[in-house]
Amino acid sequence: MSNIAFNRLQRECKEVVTNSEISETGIMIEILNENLTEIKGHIRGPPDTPYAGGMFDLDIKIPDQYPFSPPNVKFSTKIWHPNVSSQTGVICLDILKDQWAASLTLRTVLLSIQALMCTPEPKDPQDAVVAKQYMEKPAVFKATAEYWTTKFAKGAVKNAGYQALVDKLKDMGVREEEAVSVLSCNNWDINRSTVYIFS
Amino acid sequence: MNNSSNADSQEGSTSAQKQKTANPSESRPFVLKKWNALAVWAWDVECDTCAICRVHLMEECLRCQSEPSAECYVVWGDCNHSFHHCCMTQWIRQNNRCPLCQKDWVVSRTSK
Repeated sequence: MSNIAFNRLQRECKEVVTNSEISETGIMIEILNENLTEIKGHIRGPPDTPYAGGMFDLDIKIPDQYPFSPPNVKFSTKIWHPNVSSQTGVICLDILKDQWAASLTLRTVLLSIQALMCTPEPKDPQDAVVAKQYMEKPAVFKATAEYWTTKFAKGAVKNAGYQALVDKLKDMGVREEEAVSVLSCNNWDINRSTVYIFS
Repeated sequence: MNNSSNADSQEGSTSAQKQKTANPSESRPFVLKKWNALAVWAWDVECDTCAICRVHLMEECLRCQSEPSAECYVVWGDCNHSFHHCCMTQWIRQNNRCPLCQKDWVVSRTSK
């Protein structure tokens, strides 16, 4: 890693750790190795969203050209969001691609992702299935996102109905994670989900 | 009768004024004997830190701190944002926009 990248990251990490406003917004970082190429980000689910109460982890990989190239950021916690792949956690966000600016920092990146959680952009989706559900069945989307938050991000909202459907598929020998994913993609229709898995 | 009394009162007031001006230290609440001026200065920049390397603009940038260079001076854009010249040179190789306001980057002035 270049000298400029390493030194700037040191300053940024200090900024995130010492800034009290950041702890209030629920943003934290964890340094995974000494040369700062791999960092773990943590975002608290914003209030008044289906992600409220959840704690979402992100994998941040810093390129050698940083800050002239954007960091590679993806969710390691599974999340049901139109702009995040429900399978891989890849994020569709302009500042992580063509709209990156050298003045942006880890703090502004994490705040932007948190803002994206508040206001999804279904017209520019990363996951077309989630975006379709968000636009056509908002109530189902909200319930699904809340269920995923509880299931994968330590959220508090319990949904016994959805859990019963997952258990049904588990009894048929389907892995829990796959059951959740397939049911979510099929708007929690157990028949369509069963056909999808076993056909 | 009235006129003469008015004239008397006017005379009295002018004599009082003469007395006041004759001894100025008595009429003033204080006298300024000594004055120490204090000047405060600041760099002529909107923001004193380079947004690219996060180092003070009047210090060498992160790269030049490890490999000293004569190129490390400050550049201002038309948008009045300022950066280290070497930081900005690296940035505009891939993107000719100001990193802070996204306007097209045009150098308006430089400063050592």
